[in-house]
Amino acid sequence: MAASATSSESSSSSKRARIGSHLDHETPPRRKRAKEEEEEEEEEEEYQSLIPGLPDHLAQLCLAHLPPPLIFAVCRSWRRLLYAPSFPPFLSLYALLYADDEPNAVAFACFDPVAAAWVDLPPPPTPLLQQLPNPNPNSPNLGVLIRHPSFLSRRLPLQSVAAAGHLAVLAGSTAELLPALPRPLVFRPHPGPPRWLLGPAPPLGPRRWCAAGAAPGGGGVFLASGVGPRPHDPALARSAALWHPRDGAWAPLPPLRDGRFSRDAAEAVGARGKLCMVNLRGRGPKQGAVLDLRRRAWEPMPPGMLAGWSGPVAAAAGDDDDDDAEAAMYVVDEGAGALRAYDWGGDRWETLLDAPELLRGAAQVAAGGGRVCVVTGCGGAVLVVDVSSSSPEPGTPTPPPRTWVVEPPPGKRVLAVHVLPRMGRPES
Amino acid sequence: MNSLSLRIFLFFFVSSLSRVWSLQATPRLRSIDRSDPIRSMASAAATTTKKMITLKSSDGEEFEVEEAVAMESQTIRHMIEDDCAENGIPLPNVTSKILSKVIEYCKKHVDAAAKPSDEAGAAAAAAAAAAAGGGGGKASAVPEDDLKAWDAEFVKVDQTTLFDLILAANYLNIKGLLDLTCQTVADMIKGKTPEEIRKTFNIKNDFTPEEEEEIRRENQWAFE
Repeated sequence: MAASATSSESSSSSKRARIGSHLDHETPPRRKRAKEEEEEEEEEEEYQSLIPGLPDHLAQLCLAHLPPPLIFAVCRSWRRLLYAPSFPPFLSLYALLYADDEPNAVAFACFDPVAAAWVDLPPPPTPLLQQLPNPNPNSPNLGVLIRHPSFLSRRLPLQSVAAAGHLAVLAGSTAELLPALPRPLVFRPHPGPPRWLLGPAPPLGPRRWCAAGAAPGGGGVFLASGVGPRPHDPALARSAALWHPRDGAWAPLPPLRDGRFSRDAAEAVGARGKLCMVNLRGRGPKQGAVLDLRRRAWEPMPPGMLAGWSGPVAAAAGDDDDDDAEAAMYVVDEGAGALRAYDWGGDRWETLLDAPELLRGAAQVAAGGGRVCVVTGCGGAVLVVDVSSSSPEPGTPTPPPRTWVVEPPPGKRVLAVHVLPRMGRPES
Repeated sequence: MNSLSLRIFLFFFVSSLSRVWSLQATPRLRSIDRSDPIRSMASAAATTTKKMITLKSSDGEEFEVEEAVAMESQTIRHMIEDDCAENGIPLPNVTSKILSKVIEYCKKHVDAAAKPSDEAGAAAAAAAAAAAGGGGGKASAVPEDDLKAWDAEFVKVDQTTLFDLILAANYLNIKGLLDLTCQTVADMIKGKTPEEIRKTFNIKNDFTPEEEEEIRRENQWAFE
């Protein structure tokens, strides 16, 4: 590749113009470059069409719904197709990471399960970072405090949500114990080149922590209650709002009955038209509430759901109401170390996997694409559990779900994980 | 009019019609059978005669099809709507072999769409509505399965013909046929190993040894 002679460049530049003119406009630019290289050097790889006998844009239609690991394994042009902007993106695991030696420097990375490789997200552009109360505008640091020197045993919350195909970082605290994010910091991996943007400021101001989650059926980001710059703000502690990334503003929701949800960072889990949340992390006695989005009213949490909510909970973010109608909700019982799924009909949690050595002390969980990903105790690993429904023969016991372990990049630990489409390739 | 003059009138009418029909017959004409009495009755209210469109394949054969069948192709539909179809439609990208298959597909699907309205329409609609909660009324389930079975047989052709059908469905813009043929190719790929896929489609394995290693990893997983 480095041997391409400069003398041939001038003659091939006219070739380039001719080649480019009749290429299908849907073909990714990589193909143009590959075709040029093919014309210039014989020892370069020959571009292979996806399926000999069919033009590429029609071959793409045939390959669109095949499992990505299969497409990855056939040949180079199929592998390139998997990452092309016009090809439906496969799901990947996004993580907020922090370094062992620098716990307050939050980094973003994406684990591509098909290539089994970690890819750093492009850093947020400086103009965006300058709008955050960042003490050091030259570093990509968000200025967020995870570990405060006075509270060594406790991590301060940094809350992020995956909703409507976007990753939104919503709430955190600065070293001065003020809100670190006046506006949500949002990452959009797809479509188009990946980009960062700032969402609109939440109603009644930014939060140090809040109840946050993804509204069901692709409804967007849900934010409620919490604590802002002032420690006691009853109106803020009862407020609730919804924001879809395509909108310019938050839409208000009916307020909570009281401020009991402002005590701690809470995760709101969206499934089957409802948003469910509890007001305390961990296994102590807590209170729950459910917002029914269709009736736009708060209701008490079913007792079975509340009783089994003994750790981090997640539901797969469906894209639309059809996906949402069958949505499943999962809890990791951090005391017993078990993964359970909620039975909507019977109001009870059914155990899917008992793995105390792996799941005890789990910090956070994300679900999507038939998998549940659990951030284990100290953020040293992510356990991926296969929860896709498979119907065994009646009478035979259900085999335990398959699991895989994903380790973070060396020297880093995982704060939180989310399931979102893969990034578009930067050069496309 | 008394019955004798009525009979004389009918005699002349029928004989003039038969003369018109024989004029239309040309040596390489293929036309759809018009013998389906139910369909003729159903459309009698709309039109008394069905408009026919002539399609010309790349190798010079002419196919006469009903307008409704030809309009399964969005490309042809636009040409008809733009009044470009008076002298027949040339299709230089489609051979007669493929064009006859395409016409067979379109005719089958036009017929299948027309059938439910001929049966006890009200009863079928009521049954479908009542059973809607249970995932589709039984009244329409059987013809749908039959059509799927017919589609499955239709695509049992060699790879070259299948690819030609994809190209024709794309050129003629027939969504159902394009979806069916592309899904057939996808089904040929699913369930095969990469080596089998390469053999089936004559694809060269151009991975470097390091890239091959990436595939043979033990711990492979992905989202669905």
